[in-house]
Amino acid sequence: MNSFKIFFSLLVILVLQGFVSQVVEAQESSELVQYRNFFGIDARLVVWIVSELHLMFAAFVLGVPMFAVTVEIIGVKSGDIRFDNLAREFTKLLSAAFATTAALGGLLSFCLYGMYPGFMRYMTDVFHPIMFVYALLFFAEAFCLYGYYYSWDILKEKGKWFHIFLGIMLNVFGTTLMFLANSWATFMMSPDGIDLETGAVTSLRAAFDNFLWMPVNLHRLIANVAFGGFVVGAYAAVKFMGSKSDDDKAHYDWMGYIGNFIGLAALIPLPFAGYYLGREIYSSSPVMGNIMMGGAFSWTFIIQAILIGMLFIGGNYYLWNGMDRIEGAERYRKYIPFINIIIFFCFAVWLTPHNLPLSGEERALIGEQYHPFSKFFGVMAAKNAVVNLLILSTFFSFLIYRRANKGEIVKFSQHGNSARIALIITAGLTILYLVWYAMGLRGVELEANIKQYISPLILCIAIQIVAIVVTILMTFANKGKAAQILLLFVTVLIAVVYLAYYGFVVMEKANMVLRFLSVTQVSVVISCLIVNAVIDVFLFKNAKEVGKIRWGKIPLRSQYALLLLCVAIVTLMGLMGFIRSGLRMNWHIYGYMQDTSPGAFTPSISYMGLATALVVVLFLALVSFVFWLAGLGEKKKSSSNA
Amino acid sequence: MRKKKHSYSMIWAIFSILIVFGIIKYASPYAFMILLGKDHTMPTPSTLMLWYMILGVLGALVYVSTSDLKWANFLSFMLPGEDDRTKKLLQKIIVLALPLLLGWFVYSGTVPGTASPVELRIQHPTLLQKYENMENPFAHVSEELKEKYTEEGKHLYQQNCRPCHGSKADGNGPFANSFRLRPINFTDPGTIGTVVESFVFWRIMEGGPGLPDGSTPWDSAMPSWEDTLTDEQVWKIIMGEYATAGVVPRQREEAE
Amino acid sequence: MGSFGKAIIFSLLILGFFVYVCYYVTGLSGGSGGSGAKGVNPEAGEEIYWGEGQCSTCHSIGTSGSATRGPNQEGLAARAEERAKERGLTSGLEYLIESIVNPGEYVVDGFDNIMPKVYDAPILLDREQIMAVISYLQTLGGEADIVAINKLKDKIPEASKKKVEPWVPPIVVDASVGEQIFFDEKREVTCSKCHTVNGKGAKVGPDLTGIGAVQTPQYLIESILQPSQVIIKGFETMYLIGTDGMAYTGILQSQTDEETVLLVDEEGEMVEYVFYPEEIEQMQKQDVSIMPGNFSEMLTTYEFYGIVSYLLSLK
Repeated sequence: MNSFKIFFSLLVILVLQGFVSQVVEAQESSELVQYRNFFGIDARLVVWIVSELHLMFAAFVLGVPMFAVTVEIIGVKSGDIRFDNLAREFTKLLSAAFATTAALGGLLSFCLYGMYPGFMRYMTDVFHPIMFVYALLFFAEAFCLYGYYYSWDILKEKGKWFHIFLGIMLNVFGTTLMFLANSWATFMMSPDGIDLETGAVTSLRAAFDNFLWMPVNLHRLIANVAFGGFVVGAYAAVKFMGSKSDDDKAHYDWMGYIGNFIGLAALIPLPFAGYYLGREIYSSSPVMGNIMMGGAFSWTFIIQAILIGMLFIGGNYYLWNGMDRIEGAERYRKYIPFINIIIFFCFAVWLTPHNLPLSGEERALIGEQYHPFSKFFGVMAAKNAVVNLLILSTFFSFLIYRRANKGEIVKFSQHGNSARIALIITAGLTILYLVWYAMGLRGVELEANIKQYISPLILCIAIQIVAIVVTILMTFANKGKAAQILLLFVTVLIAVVYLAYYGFVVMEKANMVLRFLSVTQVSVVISCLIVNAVIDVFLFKNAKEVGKIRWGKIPLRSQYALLLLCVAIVTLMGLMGFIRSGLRMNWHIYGYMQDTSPGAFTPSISYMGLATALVVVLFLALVSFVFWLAGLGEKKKSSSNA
Repeated sequence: MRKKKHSYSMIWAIFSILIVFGIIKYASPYAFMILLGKDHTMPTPSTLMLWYMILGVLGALVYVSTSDLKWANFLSFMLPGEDDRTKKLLQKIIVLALPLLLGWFVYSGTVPGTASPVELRIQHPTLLQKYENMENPFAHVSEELKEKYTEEGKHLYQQNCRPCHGSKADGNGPFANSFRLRPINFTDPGTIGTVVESFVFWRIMEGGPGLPDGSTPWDSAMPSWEDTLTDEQVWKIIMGEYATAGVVPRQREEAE
Repeated sequence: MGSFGKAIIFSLLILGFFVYVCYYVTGLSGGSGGSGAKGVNPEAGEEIYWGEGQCSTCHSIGTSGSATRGPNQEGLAARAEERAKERGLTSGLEYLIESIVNPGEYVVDGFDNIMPKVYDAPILLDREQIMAVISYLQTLGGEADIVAINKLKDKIPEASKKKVEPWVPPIVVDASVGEQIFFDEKREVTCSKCHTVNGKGAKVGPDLTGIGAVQTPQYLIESILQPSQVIIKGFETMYLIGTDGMAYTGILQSQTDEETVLLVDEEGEMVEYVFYPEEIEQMQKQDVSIMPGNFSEMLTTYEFYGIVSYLLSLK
C-alpha cells in the first residue's frame, strides 16, 4: 500500500506536467475560451474550496515535519524513547497526509487550467521556469519523506544523525516548495517584473521576488507551524477521549501537550508577522491597504479578532487545566483569576470596532458620532497595546505552567560558563537588534515638528536595553526569578502602559509616528520574550521537582479546548486566505489582468462564512479519514500481538 | 484542614457578572461624563453592551472550569444536599431567574418597536462654492477697530446665540437639553477651531436647512439667520464667538 | 465512537458559531456585506474617486488629499456651471463630462494637459463608474442629478477592451537597475535628489509615487529628455534678482507677505534661500525647468530605459 502511495503521488505530478504543456499548446490554437465552470458550479467557488483544502493540507505537511525533526533531536539528546516514538507517530500521519496534499494539488491545477485557461496561460508564460523547478523539487521532497519514514528502524542504531539529516532536508525542500508557490500568489497581489500594460515579462527575478513575497513567506511559515501543532493537538485530544487504558491516556495527554505547546509558541510571534505583512500591503498599494483595513474588508478583521481571541483563551484554558495534573501547581493558582480578567479585558478592547454604527436614539443620547468606547478602544493605539498585553499574559501563563512542579532551583553560577555564554549571546543579539532599530529611528527623515515625537520611542528602547542588561546581571547573581519579573514589569510598563498612552498623543499630533510606535512596541515585547524564555530554560535546568506530572489525569474539558484550538486555527486560515485573495477585488493580477468572469464579485461576509465553514468541514473530515487510514495498520499489529 | 461544606462559587460568578454589567451599564456613562468633561452621561451602545456581556459570562465560565475541583464546586451549588436556608433561597432564585432572563431576551428581540435606522453621518459637509472665497471684511482693519467689533460681536452672540450655545459658548445654553443632537460646544478644539471663518458664516446664514443631504439636515435645529441678521452682524458674531470660546479659526492656506 | 461523535458535534458547534458571527456582522455592517456602494450614485462615485479611479493621485478636494498636479476640486459643481457658460456648453454637467472624456479639450489655467483618459488602461473605468464619479463631483458644491447624467450617457465611452498599443523598451532592461540608478547617490546626477518615491528622496521636484498608474511611457521619456516641455504646476523655475544685484534661479518653495523662499541648486546641492520683500528687485517665471536637460549624455541607453521601466512600475 505504501509503495502505491509513492507511485500515486508521482503519477499525479507527471500527469500534471503533461497537462500543463498540453494546455499551453491548446491555448495557442484557439484563444477564445477564457472561463469555464466545474460541472455547472461556479468556477470561483470550486477553486476557492480546492485551493484552501490544498493549502491546509500543505500547511500540515509542512508544519509537522519541522517539529517531528525537532522532537527527534530532543529524543536523541535526552535519550528519552518517548520523544522518538512521538516523532515517529507524527511522521506516520505525515506520509498519509502527503499523498492527499499531492492529489489536492493536482486537482487544483486541473481546476485552474481547466476553468481559467486565459489567466493560467499568462501565469505559465511568466513562471514556467519556476513551475518546472517546483515540480522537480517535489521528487526531492517525496524521496526525503519516504526515506525518512521507512528508514526509521534501519538507521535507529547507527545512522541516527543521517536520519535526522534526511528529516532536515525534508524540511528544506518542503519550505522551498512553499516559497516557490507563494511567489505566484503574491505576484497576483503585487505584480512586478512585468509591463503592466502589455504584460511583457521584463524580469523573472522581479516577478518571483515581488514585493509581498517575503512577508507572506514569513507569515505562512510561522502560521504553518502553529497550524500543524494545533491539528496534532486535536488528533491527540480525540485519541485521548477514546482511549481506555491509562497508558494510552498518558501518551495522548502528553502528545496533546506537545502539540499545544508548539502551536502556542508559534502563535505568539504570529501577530507580529501579520502586522509586518499588513504594513507591506499598505506600502505596495495604499489602495489595497485601504480596502483591507478601512473598506470592504475591515469587518472581516473583527471576525479574525474573535477567532484569535478564541485561540488565546483556548490556549490559556488548556494550560490552566493542565496545571490540575501537576503536583505543586497549587502555589501558582492564585495568578489565574488575574490573567483571566486581563485576557478577557484585552479581548473586549480588541473586539471593539471604531466605526460601530449607532442608532439615531443612541447618537442623540451620546451627542456625537463616536461613543468613547469605540473612540478610545477602536483605534490602533489601544489595539496594539492590548495585543501586546495578551501576548505577555499568555507568556506569563506559560511561565507559571513550566515551573508548576519545580521547587528549589540550582544556582545559576553552577550551570557553568556555557549557560553564561548562551545568555550573553541571546541578550547581545537582542540588544543589537534594538540598537539597530533605534539608530534607524534616529535616521528617519521627517519634518522637524513631527520628528520630535520620535525621541520618546528611542528613550523607551534605551530603557528596555538597560532593563535587559540589569536582568542578565541579576541572573548571573543568582536572582533569576526576580530578574524575570523585573523585565516583564518594565516591558509591560513601556509597551503596554506608556506606549498606549503615547499612541493617543501621537495619533492626535503626528499620525506619521504611529507606525514607528507599533514597531517599537513589538520590538520591546519580543526582546522581553526572548530574554525571559532563555533565562527560564537555564533557571529551571536540573531544578528539584516537588511533584510529578500525572500524565493522563487532565480534565476531559481541556481536550475540548484542544479541539477548539484546532477548529479555530483552521477557520482562521480559511478566513485569512479569503482576505488575502479577496483584496485583489476583481483582478486576477492586480493592476494588470482583470477578472471578467461572472464569479468576480466580492462576496458578502455571510457568503464567505458559509464557504469557509464548508472548507473547514471538508478539511476536518478528510483529515480524520486520512488519520483513520493511517491507524488501520497499527490496530492489526496490536491485535496480532495480543 | 476541614473541607468547606458549601461552595458559593456559582454565586460569586453571578455576582461578578453583575458587577461587570453594572460597570458597563451604569458606571461607565458617568465615568466618561466626568473624564471627558461632558455635561451628560454617555450610555454604552446596545451592540457593545451585548458583546461585553457575552465576554463577561464566558470569562466567568472559563474561570470556574479551570480545574476539576473548581468545576465541581461550581456545579455542586445546584445539587441537593444538607443546605441551609440562604442557599435554598438562592437556588430558587437562580432556577427562576434563568428562564425569566431567557424569556426577556426572546421578548425584547421579537417585540415590534420603533427604532430609527442606523446611519453614518458626514460630519464636515463640503463648503458651498459661493462661500468658499469669502473673507471676513474686518480681517484687515486696525487692531483697535478689531477689538471694538469683537466686543460688539460678543454682545450680538449673547443676544442671538446664547439660548442654545450657552453664555460661555460651551454648547450648554438654557435650551440645549431640548435638542436631539445637542448644540455644538465651540470650546471643543475639534469644532469651529478646525474650519475657516467662511464655513462658520455659511452655517450661520443657512443653518440646518442649508445642509446637504448627506449631513442629514433634519438632525440640526440651527435656524437660518439670513433674513434676521445682516452680513456685517454675522461677521461680528463670528469674531465674538471665537473670542468667547477661546479658539482661533483655521487659517486659509495660501491660494495658488 | 461516542467520544468521536462528541468531538464532531463540538467542532460543528464552533463552526456554527463562526457562521453565525459572519451573518451577524453582515447585518451590522449594513447588509452590503462590505462590498461597498455600487451603481450610479455619489457614494459609489466617492469610493471610485479615492480608490479605483485614481483621481486622488492628482486632484485633492478641500483639505482631503494632498495632490497638486491637477486643480483642487472643492466646489467644482459651481465652477463647472461658470465654465460651461464661458465655453458655450449647455450645462455644468456637460462640462464635467467633457473634462473626463476629453481632458485635453479645456485645461484649467495654470495646470498642464496631463490628465489620462480614465476609460483606457490602466485605470479602465467603465461607463457606470464614470457616471458615478460625475454624480459625486456634482455634489461638490451642488446637487447630484442622476437623471440628467443618464440622459447624457451616450457621451461617455465604455471602458476600452482593446489592448493599448504596447510599449516595450527597445532593448531588454531591468526595472530594478532603474531603481538603483534612481536612488544611487554616488552618481553625478541622482533622480532622488529632487524626486520622491514612496517617501524616499527629496521634495524639490514632483513626487513620482504612483506615476506609472497615470502616465504613458511616451510622456515619461519626453519628461526625462526634454524636461522643459511640460513643467508641473508649482515646480516652475523662478528667476529672482535681489536688491544687491545678485541673480538666483530656483524653485519657489513658498511665498507669503513676509518672506519668499527659493530652492536654489548650488553645485548639486539644493539650498533654501529666504528673501524678505524689500530684498527682491524683480522676480520672473521661467519657461525652462530646473531639471537638467542633458540626461541623454549622462545615461547610457540601457540605464535610461531601466529608469523608464522603473517609473512605469510605480503604481
